[in-house]
Amino acid sequence: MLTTRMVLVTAALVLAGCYEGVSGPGDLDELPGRVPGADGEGEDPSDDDDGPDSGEPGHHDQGEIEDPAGRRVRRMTAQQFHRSLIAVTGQPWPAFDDYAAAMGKADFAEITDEGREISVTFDKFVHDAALHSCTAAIDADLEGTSAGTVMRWTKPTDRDEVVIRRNLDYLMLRFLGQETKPTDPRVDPWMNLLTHEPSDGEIDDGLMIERWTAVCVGLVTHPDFVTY
Amino acid sequence: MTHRHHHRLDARFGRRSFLQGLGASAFLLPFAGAGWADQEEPRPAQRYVGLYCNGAWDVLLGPDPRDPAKSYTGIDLGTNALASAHREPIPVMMAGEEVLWGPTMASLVPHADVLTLFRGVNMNTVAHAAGRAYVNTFLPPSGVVPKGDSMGTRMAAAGDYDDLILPNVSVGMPTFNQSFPADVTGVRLSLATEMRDLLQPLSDAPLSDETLAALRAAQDEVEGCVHDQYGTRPVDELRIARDRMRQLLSDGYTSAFDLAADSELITRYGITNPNAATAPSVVAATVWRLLETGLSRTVTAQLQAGFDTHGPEWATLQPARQVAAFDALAALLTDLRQDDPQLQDTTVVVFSEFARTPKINGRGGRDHHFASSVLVFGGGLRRGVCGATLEETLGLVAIDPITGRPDPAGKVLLPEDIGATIAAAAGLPTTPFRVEPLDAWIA
Repeated sequence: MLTTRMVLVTAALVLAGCYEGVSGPGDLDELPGRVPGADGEGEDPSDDDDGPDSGEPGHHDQGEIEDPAGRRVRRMTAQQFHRSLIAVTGQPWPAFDDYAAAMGKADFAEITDEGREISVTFDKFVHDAALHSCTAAIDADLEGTSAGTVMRWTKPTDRDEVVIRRNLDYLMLRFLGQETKPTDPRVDPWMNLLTHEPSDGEIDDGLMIERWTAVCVGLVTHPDFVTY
Repeated sequence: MTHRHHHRLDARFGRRSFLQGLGASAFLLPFAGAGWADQEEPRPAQRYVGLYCNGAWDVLLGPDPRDPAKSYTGIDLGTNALASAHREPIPVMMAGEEVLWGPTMASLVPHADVLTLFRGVNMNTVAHAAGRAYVNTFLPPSGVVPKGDSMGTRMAAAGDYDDLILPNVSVGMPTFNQSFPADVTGVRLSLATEMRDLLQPLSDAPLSDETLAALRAAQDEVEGCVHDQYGTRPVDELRIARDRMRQLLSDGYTSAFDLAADSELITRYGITNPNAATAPSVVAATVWRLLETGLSRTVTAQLQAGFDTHGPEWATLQPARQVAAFDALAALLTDLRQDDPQLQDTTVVVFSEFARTPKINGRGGRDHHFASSVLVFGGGLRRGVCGATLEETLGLVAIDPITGRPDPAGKVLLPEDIGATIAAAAGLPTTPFRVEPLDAWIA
């Protein structure tokens, strides 16, 4: 019983850690809803306490039991993905209607179930969508026609890692709902992408724009973005 | 293109096969005698193709015709409304017996020697969605909701698929996986021509190769925040899909799916427009390319649509569409038989959600009818006709499961009987089908 409770509490803490500090922009409210209780919210681990061991067969301390699996994390539907993409980048993917069916969208004529498999098809078209929308979002940022959707706290000329990190923290929160602390390892892959020395040894403004686009694509194709 | 041959060698000696072989060797070694060196070569990997004819085909024009020289109390052949080319059935020899095929199946005659023709299959529904769900899994659906796994998923999961980029592909049909590992879940394409889009490289985007490589490196470091207590971690599923996508994009498959560039293929499949994504010829050629390139060994596809002819269009569109579907199927079978002449290691199953009524309705078309047919080419089945419909009415009739002929003490065929038989012939468990396979029909 104690083991079961510890597993439940640990699982709740792990999830709570994942979503810690979710306080993204208002448009993130349109992201697919989380199932109540999936993050431990509103649940009391003691609810599982069914009292002292009765000694009857099947009770918790009578041999090994299999811990109950948590709610299975699901991939977004095609429509949810596209809405989420628009929410975080401000840019639609014009080809969405062409590929929505391949990404699993039901037509309710021939196909009545929403496809949720994480497949080659889904990942490829998610990349295509991300590349388009991230490029368009950064173009809009640089042209000043947006309020700084991706490059909100930085400019292509910035090389200062503190400035770069500030924008990266903002993107982690905007795209993934993850509030990151200075030593957070989840930021490292993206910080490395932005700051590593290129083969020709020089980072110019064009390369910085490319790298911010790549970070945006990386966050849209992130497992924490495409699932809930 | 000769990839398939190499691919089969690869599959034969894949990692899993090697490990399985190692285990078997350890067990068998003490018993090995002089005949050890004479052991047969391991059986090559199995291919499975499922082809769906959407809208309910007319079995009287195809797999279950009647003689127009006779009259039937419960059947209106509508012969006078049909073009002359679509009036006369074809006598075909199957398993030493003359059998009639509908005129739309003429192009399949050279493949009669590898066909098991199931007639009088009770689809138990005349609702399209329910029938579609039924033929997807070969298990009775819950209303319109499919139960269990797609037949393609079941067949794909049976073999060694470690070496495949796309172990299970579904074109124009949903695919289900409830029982097998996530890496064998079907890759769904809504249209055959989407293979070209899938193969469009990411480097067409405004990112240099160096930045793309840096992005991949960063993606590979990502872990995701979901604990495995919550089931399979999305990051692990994504990694499988992403590795396959990268391999797909890097291995130069693009030209294989540029059908227009291959004039020989265009001629062979009778393709008039390579961009006609739903044309049976394009679908069949794409299926072939998926198998030939070694990208997949299991492909399920909607071969043809538009069979739901309730009005006068039945007389023209129905036969024309069935001819187009069967012609494309014949071309595919010819290609498949190049390296597997008797289809010993290949199963091709062709089906529709149900059939069309034997009587012509007031609008000159045919409505929905229970008694359908299923065509199985190869798959280790005994060749010939199994099952029947009532001669006078196209009604369902019980058959002897051993002879396949009408027998009042026998049973009426259901899709799960055929699913279980195909599974058993492939050496797979038949428990999910909850019926006994037709053992007498396994060669």
